[in-house]
Amino acid sequence: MSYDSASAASLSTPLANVARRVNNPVFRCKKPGCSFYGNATWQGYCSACYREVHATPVSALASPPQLQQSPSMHQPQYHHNYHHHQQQQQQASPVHVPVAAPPPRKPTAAAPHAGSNHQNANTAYSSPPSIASILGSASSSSPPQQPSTRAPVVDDANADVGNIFNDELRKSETSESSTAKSVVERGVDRLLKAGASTRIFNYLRRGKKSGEDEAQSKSANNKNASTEPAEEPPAKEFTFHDFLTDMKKPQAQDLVMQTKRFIENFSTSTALSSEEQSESIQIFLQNMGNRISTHPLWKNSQQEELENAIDGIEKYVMTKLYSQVFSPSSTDDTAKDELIDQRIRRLRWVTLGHLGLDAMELNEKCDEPLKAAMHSLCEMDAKRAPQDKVACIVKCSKLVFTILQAMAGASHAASADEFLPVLIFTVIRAHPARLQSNLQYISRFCNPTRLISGEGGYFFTNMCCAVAFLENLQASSFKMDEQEFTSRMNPEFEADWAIFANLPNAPSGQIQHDNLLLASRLATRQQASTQSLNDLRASLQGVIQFFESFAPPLSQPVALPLSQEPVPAQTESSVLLDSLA
Amino acid sequence: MGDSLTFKIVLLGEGCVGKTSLVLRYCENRFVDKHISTLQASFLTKRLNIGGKRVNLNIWDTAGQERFHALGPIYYRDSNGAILVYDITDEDSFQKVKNWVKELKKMLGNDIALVIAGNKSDLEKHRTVSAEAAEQYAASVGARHFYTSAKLSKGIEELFLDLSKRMITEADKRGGTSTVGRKTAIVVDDDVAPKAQSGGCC
Repeated sequence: MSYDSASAASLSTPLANVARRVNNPVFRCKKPGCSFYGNATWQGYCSACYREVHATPVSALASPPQLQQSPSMHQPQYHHNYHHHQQQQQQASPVHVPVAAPPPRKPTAAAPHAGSNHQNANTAYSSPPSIASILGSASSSSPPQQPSTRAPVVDDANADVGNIFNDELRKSETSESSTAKSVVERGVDRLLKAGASTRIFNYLRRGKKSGEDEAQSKSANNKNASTEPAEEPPAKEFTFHDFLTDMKKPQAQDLVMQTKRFIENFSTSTALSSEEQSESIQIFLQNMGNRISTHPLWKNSQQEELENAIDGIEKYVMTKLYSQVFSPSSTDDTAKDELIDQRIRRLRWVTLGHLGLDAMELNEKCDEPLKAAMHSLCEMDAKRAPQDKVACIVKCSKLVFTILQAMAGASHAASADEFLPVLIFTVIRAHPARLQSNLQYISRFCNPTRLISGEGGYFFTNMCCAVAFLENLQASSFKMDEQEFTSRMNPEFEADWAIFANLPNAPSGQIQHDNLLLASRLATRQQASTQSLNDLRASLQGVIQFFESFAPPLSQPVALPLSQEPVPAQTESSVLLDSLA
Repeated sequence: MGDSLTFKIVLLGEGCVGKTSLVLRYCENRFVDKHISTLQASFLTKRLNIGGKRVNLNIWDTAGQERFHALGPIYYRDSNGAILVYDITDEDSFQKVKNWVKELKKMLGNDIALVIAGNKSDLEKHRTVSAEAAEQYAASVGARHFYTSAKLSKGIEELFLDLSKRMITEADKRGGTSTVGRKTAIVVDDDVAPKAQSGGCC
């Protein structure tokens, strides 16, 4: 095929990678001479050759599920090279080309293909993934239970789609060589021949719908019998949406009215302090909670549904009143935000080692959970309902445990001794906006039950601890000497560190930062030594001057008293010279 | 919910005294973690049935390092019970327990049920904290003293059972205000939570 060169040539540079892949023989089907691409799912073959190799019907059945889910992936290629695989089609029928068969047909063999019908089949079957569901519905309505009274006549215009499949299924039970797929295919063939393509879809749709109906009636039954609560082990997850649906019911009218009135009243009373706001909302929510638990609408509900309703009210009210009660001007929340914000900005140099986890080191496996933890912590500011904010903290905390596990190995249950430091570290790295305001908001308006019990309460408390630690930390908190701590906490250092703030949490950033610190220390030392060198030079100058003050008399020529006698040294040296000679 | 009670228990003790092992042994009956089912041992729950009463224990582990000592009050506010763990081979850890008891008494008065656990009782040979002194001290502050060994799974069930019973008595005395039925909890906490919060942070 000229496909390769043509496609490679037409590719522009950004697609060069793709071109390499396309031309790479490694990606080709393993079968020599086949021009399709293979993949790992097909053991390196293309789907057609794979089937050819694993031609037995049993293996065709046991072939990877991807075959049934996305057969359309291969379809276009198949059309290109239709004849190439025709022989193999007859051995084990592929799912993705269900084509009408010519009338004379062996019951055991899979559908051979008639080119004239191909187009037709393709249009009728433009969404092949439903094959799996045909299979499902065909086998679920098994023949012995629903005996078909109608004879399976192929060209019966009124032939019931289900019956045809059932019929094929029955046939297949007698002939062991046929597969479930071929049953389906033969059923489709027959229907297509009968011109019933649209009815297949109706049948499928009906099957799906009836399944849903069944599920619905099942859940309705459960609801009626909910005097024994929590019968079903997988408890239904109730959502805010469920709550809103409940509130639309006419029986809930009184609750809606009351809530709306409360919100209206609350919005007009602007002079409340934050404590009064908190009290007022908590009392209202408490009353609503009491009313909901005795309300006829939730008379037969399970505990979970009731709690969902109570949470729903909280969420609704708090979302409506958010702008009024979040970080109100009557409090110093904003000032506290700024303080902690500045603190965190100056603490970017903190490592796990500083927090007492010397033995632990962040590795590449920690990157993902750390990022996710930082993200969910930052997300907290965007949520409005207190319960959602707490959920963010819980999510962040759980990710912190994932980080701990990545650092310490899988067989490690982290204790609070390790959890809190890493949580603090995450808070510093995440640098979430309006941290104090958010925590204050949660503690004022969240359902107190949530805050004193359960993991939400625990993780929220830990977050408060982390923030309290950051606010109050001193040199001793890091077991660091006062001088170093002060130097690290000064704004200049912060600016230095800001260069690296945008780097990912890779150790390289840490190393660079440490080097920077070292360089700044060296600079100071160099300055000091230059200073002392200058001092030394000055004092040396003084010494020289001092000695030079004695110098003139020394430089005067001194008359030495010379003796008449020759100097003994001279004689000695002449003796030496003699001996040498 | 019915008559089920929920209690908050804080776990206090220096690092390395075996807080985590103790609570893991109790809640999951594990000592060496081979088949990990939980990522963490810092917040664990346990359901009990004591004399027909359903009891939920929420066990809060706390960071024991000295640098986090000041955060104690944030952890132990509103707790019904406290387990103070020390290592019988480490005199310092026992001194720490004494400090915590003092603090707890100051902050929470006598409302809190205290248990002191001398952990690592399997290392009897290396004991440095005298048994007599420890028990005497426990009695003097109204706490029960237990010897535990997370390794041998000794004394742990007894410890939690005793603590639970005393928390139930305490709850009954106060007319059940510590139950986590929403209504009562809301009344109790409404005015407490924000104040304690701001107190803890500053």
